Amino acid sequence: LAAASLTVRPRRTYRQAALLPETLAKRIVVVATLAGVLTGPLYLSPYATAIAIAIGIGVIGAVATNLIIGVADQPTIGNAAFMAIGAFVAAEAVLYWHWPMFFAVVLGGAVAGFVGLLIGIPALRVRGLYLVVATLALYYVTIYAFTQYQSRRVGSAGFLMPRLSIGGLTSDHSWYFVVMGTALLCVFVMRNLVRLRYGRAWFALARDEIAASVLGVNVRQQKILVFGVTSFMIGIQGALFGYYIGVVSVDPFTFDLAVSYVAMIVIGGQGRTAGSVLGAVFVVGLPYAVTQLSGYLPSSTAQSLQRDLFNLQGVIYGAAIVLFLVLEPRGLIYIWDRIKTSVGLWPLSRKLERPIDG
Amino acid sequence: MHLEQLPNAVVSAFPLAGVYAVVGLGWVVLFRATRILNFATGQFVLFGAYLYYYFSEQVGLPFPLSLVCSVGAMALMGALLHILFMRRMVGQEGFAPVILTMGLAIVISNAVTLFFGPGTQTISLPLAKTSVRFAGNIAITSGGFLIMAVAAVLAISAILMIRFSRWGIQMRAAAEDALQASQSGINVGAVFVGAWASASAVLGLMGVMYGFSTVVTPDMTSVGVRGLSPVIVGGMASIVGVVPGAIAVALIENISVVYFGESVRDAAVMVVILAMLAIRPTGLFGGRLIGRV
Repeated sequence: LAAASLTVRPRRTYRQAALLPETLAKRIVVVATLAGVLTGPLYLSPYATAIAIAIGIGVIGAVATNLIIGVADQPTIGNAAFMAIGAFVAAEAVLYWHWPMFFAVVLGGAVAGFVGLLIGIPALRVRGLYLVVATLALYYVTIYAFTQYQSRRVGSAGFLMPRLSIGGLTSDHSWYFVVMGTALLCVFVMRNLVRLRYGRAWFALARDEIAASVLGVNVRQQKILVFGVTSFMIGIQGALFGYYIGVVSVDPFTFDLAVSYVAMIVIGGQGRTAGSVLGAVFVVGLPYAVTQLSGYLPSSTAQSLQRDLFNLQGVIYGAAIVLFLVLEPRGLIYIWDRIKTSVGLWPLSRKLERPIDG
Repeated sequence: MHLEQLPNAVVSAFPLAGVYAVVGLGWVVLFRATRILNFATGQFVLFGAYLYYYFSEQVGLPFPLSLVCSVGAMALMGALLHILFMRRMVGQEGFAPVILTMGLAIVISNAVTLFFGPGTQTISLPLAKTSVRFAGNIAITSGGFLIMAVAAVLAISAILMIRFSRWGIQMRAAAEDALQASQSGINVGAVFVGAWASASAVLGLMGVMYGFSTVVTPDMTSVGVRGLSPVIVGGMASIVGVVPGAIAVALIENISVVYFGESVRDAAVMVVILAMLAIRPTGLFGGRLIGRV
């Protein structure tokens, strides 16, 4: 962290401190990213659009997971349960109450957020690894409840969701804008939350609860709040995810799905907004990249590989989690920071690298 | 309601309790020694069973040799995992080491399916697959008896080892305060390697027994997460508590399956965990571990 802070320029006025992209370079990056994302349908093939939507959905989940685990340090693994809540509530609202999509998705998020608030209350009692176990147990109970509900209401196939079309766009392009818009909004919210009272309170919670309470943080209130906010985001994400794949059933909401969001923030960088994005790109993109790379192998090897591709992707993905934790626990974003610092300090960078890292 | 199944469910809970006791030991030994919850526990069980399948069915070694080879390979794997990966995590409180074990779990699950395929395999020990009938249709298979016997031996020896042996005392000291322990001449690194090796050997052994009494499939891993509940019931800091915890959880699980059907199996165990965490987070036999603000 010391190395990263070397490149931060001093802020002289309140306006400077409030401005989000502090430097010209950052402003250019932000504008370029926005432009690149918004013009996506112009240059992305249908296949690439589908990957981009998957990454966008991943970003929403990774941002929420990063807020609760990376920022507030409340280790949870019940992610997929909140996604399921969002998806099922949205499906119910769209199919049976004939709500428009926007309100159905927001309702899904709201119900998940409310459940998250309730979960926040026992989280006051248990912490650390006990919280991991509690959210794990809650995940299984929630999924059991939804399995029962699903089999009574629609049968094992699940809820069939209608196709989405907004303003004459094709279904894929409508989805692209909906998901990307939500993902950008989530990134914006997280980037700001961590600078506000709330984010700072959550960082304080993560460091030391007693110290935080002495500094005037209402520990109970903030803990419940962080659960509510992140569950709301995850519920929205689940609703979009279920709606997008077209069938809402319990099948995709596996324990491995929950782990994959934790993997994203570990690989991307905990507590860092850009880290969530990088992690989501890495974890969601990895299977596609492996598939793509296996295409370059000689055809005989590729054929025999085809059958095992899914498990091979799994091995590589699991190994990535392990290796990142062992070799660079601060994630991809920290690798980027290091590159940036060493370029910024160029003639001196080699001498500075070691002592500053400690 | 199928009340006539109730006696059978109660009796067959005991072999299941044996499985849970050993899986719970796997969780609790690592937690006591290194403060890590090993989410690859179920995968260790799976891997042990598949190693035995490999040595006995594919290589064709006789029973004692393949048992020794598979359990030995598991111990070696545990030691290597600590030396290569987990050692870097020592002293990191909290979630990071747990996530690492989740990564390991993903690797092991996928690698096993990659090498052995997703299908079901059978392994046979030199033991007749008979069952002992009590009244009516209440029965325990020979595999079930084997599990109970192995679980009893492992549980008793683990409790005695950790309470009285030199290694056990060193392990408890290292868990209490690694720095202090190393200052008084305990090789903390070796203790941790020992904990990982013994936990994975024990889990691998149970994998072989469990695979013998049922079948060997990639789905065996579910017993890992379920095996966490006896630990929560007994208390994460308590090794003795695992055994009554396992019996209680297995009974609750089997009885709720009678009433609500097979699909409730996972959820029933998890409700037990939630109830226990709500009422008494430290478990029936655990000391105080949790503070609050």
